Amino acid sequence: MWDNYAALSPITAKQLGVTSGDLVEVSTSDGAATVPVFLQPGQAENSVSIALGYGRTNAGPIGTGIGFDVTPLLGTATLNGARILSGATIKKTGGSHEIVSTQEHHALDDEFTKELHLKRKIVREGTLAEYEKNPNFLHEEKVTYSGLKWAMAIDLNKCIGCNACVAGCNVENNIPVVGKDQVANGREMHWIRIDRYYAGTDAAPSLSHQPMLCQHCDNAPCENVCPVVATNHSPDGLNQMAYNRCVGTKYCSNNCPYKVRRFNFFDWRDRFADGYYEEQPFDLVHNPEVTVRSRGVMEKCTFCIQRIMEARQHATEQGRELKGTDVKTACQEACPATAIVFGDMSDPKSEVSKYRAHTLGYHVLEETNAKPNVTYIARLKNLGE
Amino acid sequence: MTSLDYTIDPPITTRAVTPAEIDSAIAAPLDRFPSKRWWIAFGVTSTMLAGGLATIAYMLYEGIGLLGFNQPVAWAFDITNFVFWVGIGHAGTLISAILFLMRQRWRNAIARFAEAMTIFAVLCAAIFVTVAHLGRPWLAGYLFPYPNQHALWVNFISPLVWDVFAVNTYLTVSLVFWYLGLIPDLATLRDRTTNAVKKLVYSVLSLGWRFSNRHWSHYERMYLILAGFATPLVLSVHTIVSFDFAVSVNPGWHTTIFPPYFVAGAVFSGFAMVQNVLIIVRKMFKLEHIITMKHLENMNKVMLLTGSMVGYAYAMEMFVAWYSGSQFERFVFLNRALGPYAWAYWTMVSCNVVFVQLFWFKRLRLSIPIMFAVGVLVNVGMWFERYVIIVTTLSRDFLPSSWGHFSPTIFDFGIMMLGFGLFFTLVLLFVRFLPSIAMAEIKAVMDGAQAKH
Amino acid sequence: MSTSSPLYAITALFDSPDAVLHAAEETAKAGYTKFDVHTPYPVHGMDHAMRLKTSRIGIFAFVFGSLGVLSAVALITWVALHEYPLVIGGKPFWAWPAFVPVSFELTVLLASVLSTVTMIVFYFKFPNNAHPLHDTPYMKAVSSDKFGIAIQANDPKFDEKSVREFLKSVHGSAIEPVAYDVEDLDHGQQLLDARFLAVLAVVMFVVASGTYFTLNYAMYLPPFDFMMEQNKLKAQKPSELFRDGKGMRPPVEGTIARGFIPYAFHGKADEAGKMLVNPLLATAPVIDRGKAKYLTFCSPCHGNFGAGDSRLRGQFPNPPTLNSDKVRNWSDGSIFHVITDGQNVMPSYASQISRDDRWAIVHYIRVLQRAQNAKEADLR
Repeated sequence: MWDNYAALSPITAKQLGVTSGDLVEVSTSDGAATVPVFLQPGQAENSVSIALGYGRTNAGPIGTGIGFDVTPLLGTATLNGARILSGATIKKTGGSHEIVSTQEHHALDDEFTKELHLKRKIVREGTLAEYEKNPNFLHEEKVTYSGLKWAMAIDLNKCIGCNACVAGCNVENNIPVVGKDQVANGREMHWIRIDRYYAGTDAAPSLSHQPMLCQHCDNAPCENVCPVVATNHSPDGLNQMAYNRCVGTKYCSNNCPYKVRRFNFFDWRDRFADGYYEEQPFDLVHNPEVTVRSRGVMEKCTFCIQRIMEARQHATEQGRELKGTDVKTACQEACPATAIVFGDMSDPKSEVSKYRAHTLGYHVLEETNAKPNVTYIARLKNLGE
Repeated sequence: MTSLDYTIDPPITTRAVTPAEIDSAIAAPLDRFPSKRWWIAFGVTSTMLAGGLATIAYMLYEGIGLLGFNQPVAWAFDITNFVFWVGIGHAGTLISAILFLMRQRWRNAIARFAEAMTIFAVLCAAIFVTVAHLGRPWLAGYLFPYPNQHALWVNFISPLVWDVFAVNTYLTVSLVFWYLGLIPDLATLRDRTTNAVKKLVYSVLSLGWRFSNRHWSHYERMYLILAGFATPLVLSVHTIVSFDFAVSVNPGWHTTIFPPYFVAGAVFSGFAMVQNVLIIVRKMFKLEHIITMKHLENMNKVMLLTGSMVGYAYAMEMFVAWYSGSQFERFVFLNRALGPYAWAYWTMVSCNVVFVQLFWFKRLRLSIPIMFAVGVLVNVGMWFERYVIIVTTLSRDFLPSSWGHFSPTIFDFGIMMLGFGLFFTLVLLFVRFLPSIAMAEIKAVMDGAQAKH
Repeated sequence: MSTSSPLYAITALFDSPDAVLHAAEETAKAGYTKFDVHTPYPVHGMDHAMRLKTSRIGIFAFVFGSLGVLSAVALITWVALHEYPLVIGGKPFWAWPAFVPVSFELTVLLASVLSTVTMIVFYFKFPNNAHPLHDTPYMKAVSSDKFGIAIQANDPKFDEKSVREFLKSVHGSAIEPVAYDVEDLDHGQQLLDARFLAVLAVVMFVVASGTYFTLNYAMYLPPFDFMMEQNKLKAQKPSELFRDGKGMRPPVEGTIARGFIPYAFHGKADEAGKMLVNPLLATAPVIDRGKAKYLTFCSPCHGNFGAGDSRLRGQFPNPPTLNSDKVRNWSDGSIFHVITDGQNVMPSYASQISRDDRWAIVHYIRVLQRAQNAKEADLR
C-alpha cells in the first residue's frame, strides 16, 4: 500500500457518505489533518485508524512527500503517550486521492465476486465446533459413508492363480454353467475371473495374473447409465443389483471399464444340456440365500451380500455393531494363499485399510476416476539378480 | 397472419398445372386399385416384416441370446439399427420444419413424404430399442416414470432415460405435425371421393375441416410454432442419442464431437433414404412434374454438405485421439482403422466420404442412376458407421483380458429385416392410403396462387 | 335440403385469389361481421382483408411449454431429493446438468401437443362433421380450386335479398343459400344411446378382464414370473428327493451342531444352582439387553417389575413375585435354570431366548430385586 490512509469500516463510511479515495479532514481536540479514506472491513464502527510516519518533508528522493502527515492530530500530551484518541470528528472535504494497493480485489457487497476465495476453496476454514463434530470435514466426499464401508484387497504377491476363488464364488453364488458353445461366444458367467497376461518372448515368457471382480467403485460408471436404477449404491459402499428391476439394456456392462458384469442371455438353467439344471437334485445344489437369476437380467459380484446380511442379523441378535471382520467372502474363504482380504475400510485399524494404505497398493485403471474399492498389491518379482 | 411470403421463387412445378390437376394427380394412387408393381413390392416388404416379427417372437420365447452379442460386445445390431433408424427420421423433420423456417419453397412437394418417413423410421427405432434390445422386453414399462407402490422411479441421470423422452417426444411431435398438415388434404379427399366407406373414414380423420380462413389464420400460426419447436427438437434427439455413447467412459465413445457429428450423419443418411424412396415413388405414380429434378438435386447438395461434415468428423476424431495423448484413445482409433474390423471402417469411410464427392459435378448430381446408387451406398455407409462405433469400441476396450469378438447370427439379420420390412411396408401403405404430397401446400405456392398486390 | 329448415348462410364462389380477396375486403367494409372466407389453401393477406386479429395461439404454446419445464423439474426434484434418494455413481442427489435433456423434451412435448389440441378442440370446436357447410357443392368447390365467401344468417345486418345483391356486386358466382340440416339440429343428448352404452359395456368388459388376466395370470408365467419360482430349496420347504419329504435334513444322530451345546442340567435344579455362574458382567449394555428380553418374554406373566402382576387377566395362573426373599437368595444359576428348564407351569424358554440373553435377564432380575429393596446407600 502506497501512502497512509484513514481506515474506516464500510458502514461508518456509508454513514459519512465517503468511500475509498475520498479526502476527509480528521480533527481531534489538538488539531486536524487531511487523509484519504480507505474502507477496511473489520475496522470498529465509528473509529478511524491512521498510520503515523507518512507525509515526511525531508526523507530523500523516495521518502519525501509520500502520504499524509497526521502528527497534528496528536497534541503534545499524547505525542509520547497513548495513541488512542477519542472524540475525533471526520468531515468530508471533497477531492480525492488515488490509493494504490497490491491487492485490490472487490467489495464485500458485490454479489458476483463475493467470497470468491471461499467458493474457489483457496482459503479453507471451519469452526472449532465443526472440527470437533467431524475432524475430516475438509475432505468430505460428495457422498459420505458413515460407519462401515466394505472393501477388498488382493495381494498379487500371494496369489498363485489357482482359480479356487472362482470355484468358491461359483458354488456360493449359484453361477450357472453355460455350455461350450456359449463360452465360445464370450458368455461365461463367472463373477470373478483370473486375468492372465503374457509378456516377454516365446523363449523367455513371463506371466502375470490378476483376479478381477466387480470393483464396487465409489463413482461407479455402471450406475449412471442404468435407466431404471437397477444398480445403485448401498450405504455401506456396495454397488448393488436389484435383479427384479433390471430390464436388460446391458448398458451397465458396456460402461464398466473392468467388464465384470455378466448377462443372462438365456435362462441358462433351462438352456444348458437341455434343462439339466432343472432336474430334481439340483434344487439342493443352489444356495438358498442367493437368487437364482432368470434370463434377461444383469448380474455381477455382490461382495457376498448374503453373508453380509447374515452377519448383520447375528450382530443385531447379539445387540452389537457389525464389524468388518464378521464377514468373509466366498472367494476369500476359498483362497489357499490368503491373498484376498475383505473388511471395513472406514476402520483405520482393519487389515483391509492397512492394505489400502500400503505403498504397493494400487487400483486398476485409476485414470477413469471410478474410485474402485478393490486394492491390488503390486507383485514384486525376485529374478535372482 | 404469419409473414410468410409465398410469391418470391420461380415456379416449383415443371409445367403449369391447375389446382384441380394437382388434386387428381396426388389423389390418383388412392383412388384406383393398386398396380401390380405395388402388390409385388408390398408382397416383398410384408414378407420381410413377417420374417422379422417371427424372429422377434422366437426371441421372446427363447431369449435375447439368439442374437450374436456377448460380453464385452453387449450392444451390436440392436443399437446399430436403432441409431440408424433414428437418423433416417431426421431428414423428414429437417425438410418439414427447418426448411420451412428458412422459407425454402421447394420443400413443400416433399415435406409430407419426408415427415411420414420420419414417423415410420422412429417407429422402427422404437421397436429395436425395446423388443430387440432389452433382456426383458415385457418390462419396458419400467423405463417410464410412473407412480408405483415401490416408489421406484427412473434414473434421470441415465442417457437411456433421456432417449426414452427424446424418442417418444420426437415421435409424438412428428405425428402431431404430420397430422396437422394432413387435415386439409383429408378434407379435400373427403369432398372428392364417391365411396361411402372412404368418405366416412376421411370425414372422421379430417375432423370436419371447412377451409375457413378463420381457421387457416390459427392453423398457419400453429404450424409455424410447431416448426419452431421441431427444429431444436430434431437437433436434440440425435444429440441425446449420441449421449448414449458420449456420456460413457469407453475410449472411442467418450468424446464431445459426437453430438454435431451424429446430427450431421443423421441428416446425411435421412436425405439419402428420402431421395431413394422419392425416386421410386415419382416414377411409380408419375409425379415427375411435381417432384422435379430440382428437388432431387437440392437433396443431393444437402447430402454433399453433410457427407463432408461427417468426413471432417472422421478426420477430427483421429486427430483428437492422437492429440489427446491418451493411450486408450489412440489405441481405439488405430484399432478401428487397422484392427479386426478394419473392413467395416473402410467401408464406412468410402461410402460416406468418397462416393458422395461425385455430387460436386452437376451432371452426376442430375443423373438418376448415379444419385440412386450413391444414396444406397450412403445408407450402407451410415449403417456401418454406427456398427463401427459400437462394435470396435466394445470389442477392445480397457482390459485386454476381456476383449472379445462379435459375429452376427442369422437372428441379427432377422431383426434387421424387421426394420426394413416395417419401414417399407408402412411407406407403401402410406402412398396407397394417404396423399403423399401436401396438396394444400403445393397449391399455395403455385404460380398465381396468391393475390398479386 | 328442405326449404323449411333454418338458413345458415348465403354463399358465393370466386375463381381467383384476387377476386376473393377483393370481395372479402368489400364484405368487411360493408359492415358484415359474421362471415367467413373459404379457400383451399391459406391466401396471403386474407386476415387483413377480413379484419381478423393476429392469432394468439402462441400464448398457449408458451404457457404449456412453461408447464412442461416446470413439471419436469418438479418431478425430478421430488424423486431425486424426497421420494427415493439413491446414490448413483457417486453423484450428488441434485445432479442438475443431467436433468436438462428430460426437461427440454417435456417442454417441447407439452407445448406442441397441448397447444395443438387446444387449437383443434377449443378454437376450431373440432371434431365437428355436422356443420351445415359440409356436403354442399360450395364445400366441394372450395376444397379443391375455388374460393368462397359465406355471409351467415345470424349477422346483425343480414337480409337475404340485400346479401344476394351484395355478393353479385362483388362478382360472386353460384350464389346459393345453405341451410341447417334439421336432423343435425335435432340430435340432442346422445350419451344414453343404447348403441353407445353397448360399446361402453364391451370396452369395459374387455379392459377389466384383460387387466385381471394380466395381473393375476400372465405376469406369473415364466419367464415373466419375476423370479418368484426358483429352482432352489429354501428353509422348511419340502423335497421329493428324500423319503421323509423334508428338504431340511436333521443332524446325524449323536452329533452336535456348532453353537448348540446341549444344556447339561436338565431336571437338576440344585446342581445347576451350585455349578452355574453368570458368564456376563453386569454392565449397562448387558442390563439393557436383559431388560429388552425381560420385557418381551417375561413381563407378560411376571409383570414389568417382577411383582407377579400378570397382564393376562387370569388366563394363566399368576406366578409368585420375583422380589421375594426366596428368589433373592437364589443363586444366578438357579434363576437361569428355571428360565432354561421351566418350573411348575412355566415352560422352558431355551428355544426362544439365547443362552447369553438368558444370563442377561438374570442380571436384569437382580436389578429389579435391588430396586424393590433399595438400601439407603443406593440413593447416594
